[in-house]
Amino acid sequence: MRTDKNMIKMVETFNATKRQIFTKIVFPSNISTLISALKVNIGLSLVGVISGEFLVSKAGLGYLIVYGGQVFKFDLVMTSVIILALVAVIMYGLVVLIEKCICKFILHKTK
Amino acid sequence: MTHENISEERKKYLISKKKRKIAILTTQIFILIGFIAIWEILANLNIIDGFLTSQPSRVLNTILNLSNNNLLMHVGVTCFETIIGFILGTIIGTLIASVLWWSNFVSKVAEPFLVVLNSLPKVALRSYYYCLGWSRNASNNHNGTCNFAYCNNLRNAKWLYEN
Repeated sequence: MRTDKNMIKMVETFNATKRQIFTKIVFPSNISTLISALKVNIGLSLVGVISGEFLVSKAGLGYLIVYGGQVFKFDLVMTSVIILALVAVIMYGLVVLIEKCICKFILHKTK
Repeated sequence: MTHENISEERKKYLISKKKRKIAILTTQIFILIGFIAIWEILANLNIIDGFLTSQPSRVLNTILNLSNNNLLMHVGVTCFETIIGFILGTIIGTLIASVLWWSNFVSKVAEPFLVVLNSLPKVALRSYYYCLGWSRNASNNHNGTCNFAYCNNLRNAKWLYEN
């Protein structure tokens, strides 16, 4: 969601400083954007971790996948993938939970 | 809404809605179970190679042998890295977004770089982790990940900046 330009104009007529515009108008109206970015990013940061672990690591699920592939233990690979899916679901759930908390907090604040 | 002032039609509608929900859920579970069952059966019948594609029962075995392959530790490490990368990426991304909003000059200067970075496949940057990974331990993944998540958070930055 974009910030309402008229809102900024209005605050400017009240002589608001730039800091006030930011903290009072721009940041709160962009929290929904932030949260939807969080939802995308939790998956992407998992991708980052796993692809990082493919290359350089001593532990972790990505390491386990590469290790399993190299020693032909494909059970290990499949298990890691399935656990990874579970972890991703749980983390997504956590983000949704955080979103709900934030929404509640903000609604409470604006009332 | 109390039950007394619901009309018959409304009640019927609510029931049909609930039924639909249950139907969707059962179908989803059924698909999942069916998929696993077909996988298991095909592997048992040697139609697909159980060695290559693994098998649900073997996966279960591997999970049950937790202590044998230290699975829990690996899961923990991955979760830890992901969460650190996620939090760092979020904070840095938000800060950068604020800076971009704050100064028109900086955002104009940074714009072409951001466009390039955003369209660049981040997976291609992976080999860059090697430079970070002097000690080849798990910690360099943190750097890599926050770098990665940060790139994606640039999108977030852009949105904020557009307002």
